[in-house]
Amino acid sequence: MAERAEIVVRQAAKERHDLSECEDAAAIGGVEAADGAVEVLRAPRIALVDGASASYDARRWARFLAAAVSSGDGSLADGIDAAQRAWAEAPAPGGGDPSWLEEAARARGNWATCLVIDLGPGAVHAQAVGDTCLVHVRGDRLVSCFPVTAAAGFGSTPDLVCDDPALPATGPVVHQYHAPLVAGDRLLALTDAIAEWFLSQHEGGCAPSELVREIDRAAPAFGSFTAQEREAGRLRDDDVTLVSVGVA
Amino acid sequence: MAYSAAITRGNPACLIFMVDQSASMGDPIGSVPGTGGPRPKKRDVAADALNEMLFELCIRGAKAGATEDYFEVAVIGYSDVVASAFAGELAGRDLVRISQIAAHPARIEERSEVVNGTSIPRRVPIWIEPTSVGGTRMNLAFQLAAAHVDRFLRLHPDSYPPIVVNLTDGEPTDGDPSELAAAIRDRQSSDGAALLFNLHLGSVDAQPRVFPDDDVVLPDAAARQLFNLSSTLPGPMRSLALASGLTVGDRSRGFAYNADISSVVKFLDIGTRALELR
Repeated sequence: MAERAEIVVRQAAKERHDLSECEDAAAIGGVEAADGAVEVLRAPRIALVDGASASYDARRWARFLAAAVSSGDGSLADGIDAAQRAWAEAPAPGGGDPSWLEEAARARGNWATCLVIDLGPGAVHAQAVGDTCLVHVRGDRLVSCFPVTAAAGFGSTPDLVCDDPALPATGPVVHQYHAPLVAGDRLLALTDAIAEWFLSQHEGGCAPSELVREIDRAAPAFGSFTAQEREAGRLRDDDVTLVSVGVA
Repeated sequence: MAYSAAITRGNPACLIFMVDQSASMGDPIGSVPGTGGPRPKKRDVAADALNEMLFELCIRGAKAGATEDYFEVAVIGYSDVVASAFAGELAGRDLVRISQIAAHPARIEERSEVVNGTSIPRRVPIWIEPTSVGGTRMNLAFQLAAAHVDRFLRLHPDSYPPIVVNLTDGEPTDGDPSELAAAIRDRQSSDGAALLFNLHLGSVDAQPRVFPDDDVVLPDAAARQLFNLSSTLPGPMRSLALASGLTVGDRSRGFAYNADISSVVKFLDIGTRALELR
């Protein structure tokens, strides 16, 4: 039975940004998992959310959504519904009359991609809106990269979850992934820039196991690793979050 | 791939608007035959479009706590005089960071807009006032735009290529701008060549031509000249235009002829939506 998960969370902000400005958010079982978090859990639910930079309150929405959708065990669609209702009731920060800019920017809504991963007995189930990805590696083989399967699949207009359900013309499309798990499998939840990096390196001939080792080596100094890869032109300048899950 | 550089506060994008403020901009704008409706003056359409663009760029940079400087923007007004067209506290400023633009509208107008049959009040920030007097010193405006592009590229050589958008209703009164326009299009960042788009505001009631791919469809030498000053639309913008239902091809130029209000909005949207953030 493969369900005990050793989880490590690493984050790096965009160039010239602090981690305190990072608009990605990871959460495990309803609790935010910040950069450096290490957990060993049985059958956890993990969420990784990438707030859209164009959103006024992207960071707060990403953290709120990650915590909300990782707290239950139902479908991601239901989790999103619940998160939107709770967000609407949560008091907005600040107070007083908003400026014209705040009023107009808030009216556009806050948007994010969202990935939820459930580890159960012998299986993984992932649900995704947008291009935050789950990479599943077994030994030297890439079992899957979900929901984006090729580096060319990353664009500037992924599906997004809005904080206001009235704003999008249609509800978010939730993609599903089911696969068996065996002890020794590695799962990497990756926001889009680092997922694109992984797939580009793999398509360029790097073995998945080597990429996993590179990520493991990089994890203790993740900021230096992302800076080096950006400098080399291999990694887009974006917030980056990695949730590494070793299955035991 | 060109025209794909990430836009961040460390690597902002540059937008330069040139707006014709000559006497003829006081004439009413054309409309599509048969559509009727009010015909505002071209100067009002141009000022409204620029204020709306600046508003949109401010929103894209707006963050809880602060406005991110994703953009640097200049608005050059030209008639007999060529100078910054910003009003209020920004008067006389050239390339201005978007946080400063957001912080300093000249004034706020209270307007109402109808949404689903309901009138909703809306606060509209104004930075550019409508003006129409004198001649059309477009060459001098291109020179100033080129200087802004040079200054920006010295500081941001890896940026998304600068975009220059010229709103005009006619011919320059200070000579042929072909060489100056070509010099702007030759400026390069590591992400591609600077883009020069021309938006011709029409006075006649005729179908607008947006992003044409050949100048033979254009009715006169002045229109063909503006077409030939304009950059070919880069691939990502062609994709956006196609997604918006416009007909574009590999040779489509960033040019609109005899634009009415609706095509002004569509043109500026396509021309700047490539600068959207993720």
